[in-house]
Amino acid sequence: MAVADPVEILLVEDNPNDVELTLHALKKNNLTNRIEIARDGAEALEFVFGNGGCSEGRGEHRPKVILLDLKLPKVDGLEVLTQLKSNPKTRSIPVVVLTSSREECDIVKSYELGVNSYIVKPVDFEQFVTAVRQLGLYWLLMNQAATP
Amino acid sequence: MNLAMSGRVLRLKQLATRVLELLYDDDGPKRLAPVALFLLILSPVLALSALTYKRTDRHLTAFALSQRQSLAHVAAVTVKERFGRLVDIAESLASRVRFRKLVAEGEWADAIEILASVPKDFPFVERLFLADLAGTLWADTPALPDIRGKNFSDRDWYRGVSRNRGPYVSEVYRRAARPQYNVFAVATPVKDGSGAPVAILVLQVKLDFLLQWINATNSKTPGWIVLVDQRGTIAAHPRLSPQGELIDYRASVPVQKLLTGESGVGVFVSPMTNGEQVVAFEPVSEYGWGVLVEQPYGEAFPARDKALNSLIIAYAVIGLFTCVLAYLILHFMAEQKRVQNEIRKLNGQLTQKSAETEAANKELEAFSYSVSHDLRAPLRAIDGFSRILLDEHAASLSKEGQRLLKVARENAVNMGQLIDELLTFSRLSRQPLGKTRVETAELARQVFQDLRAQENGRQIEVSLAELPPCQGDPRLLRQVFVNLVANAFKYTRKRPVARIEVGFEKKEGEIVYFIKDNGVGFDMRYADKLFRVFQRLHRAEDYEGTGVGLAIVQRVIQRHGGRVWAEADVDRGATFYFTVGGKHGCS
Repeated sequence: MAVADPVEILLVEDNPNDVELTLHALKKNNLTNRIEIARDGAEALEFVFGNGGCSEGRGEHRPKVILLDLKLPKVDGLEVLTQLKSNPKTRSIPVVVLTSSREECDIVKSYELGVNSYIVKPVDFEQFVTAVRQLGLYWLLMNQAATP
Repeated sequence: MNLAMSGRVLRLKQLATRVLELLYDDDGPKRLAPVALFLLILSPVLALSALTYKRTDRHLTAFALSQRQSLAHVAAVTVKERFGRLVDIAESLASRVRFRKLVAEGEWADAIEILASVPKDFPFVERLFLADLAGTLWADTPALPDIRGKNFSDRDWYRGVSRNRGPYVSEVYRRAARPQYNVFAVATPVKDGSGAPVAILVLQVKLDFLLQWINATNSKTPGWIVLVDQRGTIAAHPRLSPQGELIDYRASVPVQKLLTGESGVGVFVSPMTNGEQVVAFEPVSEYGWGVLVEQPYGEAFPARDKALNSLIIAYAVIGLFTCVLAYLILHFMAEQKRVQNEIRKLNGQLTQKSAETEAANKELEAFSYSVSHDLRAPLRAIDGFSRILLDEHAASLSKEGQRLLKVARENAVNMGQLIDELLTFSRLSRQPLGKTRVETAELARQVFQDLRAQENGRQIEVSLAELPPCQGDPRLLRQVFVNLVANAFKYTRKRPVARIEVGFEKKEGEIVYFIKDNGVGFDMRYADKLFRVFQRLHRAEDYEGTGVGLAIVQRVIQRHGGRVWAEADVDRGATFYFTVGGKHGCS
């Protein structure tokens, strides 16, 4: 496991438009140096846990924050969340759910599973950019991460 | 209650249970039950009527029969009396001193002369004559030709009187002397001074007199009285001429019984008519004769039959009534069963409908979920990419191009709002209404606080009355206030000083809340469009909005059972009134 992981942000998002917009917003805030994109839940888990699954092996990564969309193909966002938060190795990685869903049930379930933050993607781009900046600034710079 | 009684009660209970089991199963009365119940209700009536009929029949029959028996008895007694009288007359005649003397001396013609007035004095004595001890007739009065010297030792009167050595009433016979009447004889010995019989005095009586006597006895009781002699020959019969042919009646069973000395009453077959007859019979004691009271069976019991007919009619009526009753009970039971089935069916339908509604709601829920999520993503893309376009490629866009893009962006944002509000609106109809006590005053205060924060830089005067609490869903009612207050803020934007008043009125026992503003108001001509979805009474460029806010307010208020309406004047502000839950909404 690398001491200082090159990847700071893991963005789990299946919608290419949203990917582009988010990257754009991050770029505007100079936060795009270390971003990894996962296009679905399986890729996300693979990235975090590596090829071997949950056990120690090569290819494991420990980003500073995971931006997680809920509606993902293959492995659902909530499922990814469950796996991340139930594994002691990954439990302490902050997960921010970034989703268009304002549904109460999603919010509740996510918090029950241990999400650190729940952000609803605004339609308005300005607001979206602001939200991303705030997110990035907070989780990457202000928040004290746990050292593994 | 002793053991025997309790045992009986127990058995009755078991019987009743078994009957009920037979009649009812789990679904209600079985199909056989109506018939069984019908019979059950009807059978006691039938049994009772049959029993009563039989009893009444027996009693009335016995009564009618005993009536006849009495008649026979009376007739028999009458005949016996008459005979007794006849015998007395004969004896007194035979014992007249002078008569005896003359008979003893052999002067029979003179002797009989003495008795010449007897037929006049006793009209029923038709003729008298003297016979010697051998049975030969020597003197008679009235004197009939060709009869003196004839021997009648084979006659019953001769044999009888000889047997008795005393008075004797004979059988009926046709006399030899002319005119040859049907007669019967009362013979008595004439004794001399020492008491030895020397002659026989015979009184002849025409049968006609018997008939008279018989007819005289019967007054009311229907039936014929028939007199038979000791041989069974008819002596008097109401339908037969006394001077007609003498009929041997021994074929009749009652006559046979009479001849054995029996008395009684019964139903016998008449040898004359071959029909059934009711016959009461009684012997005339001492004389061997008999009385019969006959009547054809069909006519014998008019009173009884009438009574029985009345009984039958009465029971028919009761039976009919019982049938109707039974029918009504069965109808009622069938109705009950039908109603129960109906209820069961409706319940089933209701359950099914509930299930369907549940399913529909779930579908709607899922639909809303996808809408809220999937529709927003493209909107975000539209807005985002056009923004990027504006930001980073402004150089290659003209002012007009930039304006056009801005319009596109605004529309995307608008659509997002629309989606949100539509979702809220649809959710409101599906959400269960939580009814609790809502502190309306506090609610209004909080809403004002929250919304006021967004209206910085404006002069706003708010007057908030102490609103009474009400029953409702706090979240939904909060939405109502939010929408109304937001509108109030929005439409007073152009006023230098916005004045908003929130209060309540008591009208006809219910609380009417209102929120009044001094804003731009609206034209009352279009008031009915106020609460419709997407309907607006102002231009979008003057006052933004989707036209869903008031629709939401109306939906919520309606679900609470209340009413909402508005009054306004163009440019003079508007007042929105609403009630929550009608009469029992607010205390």
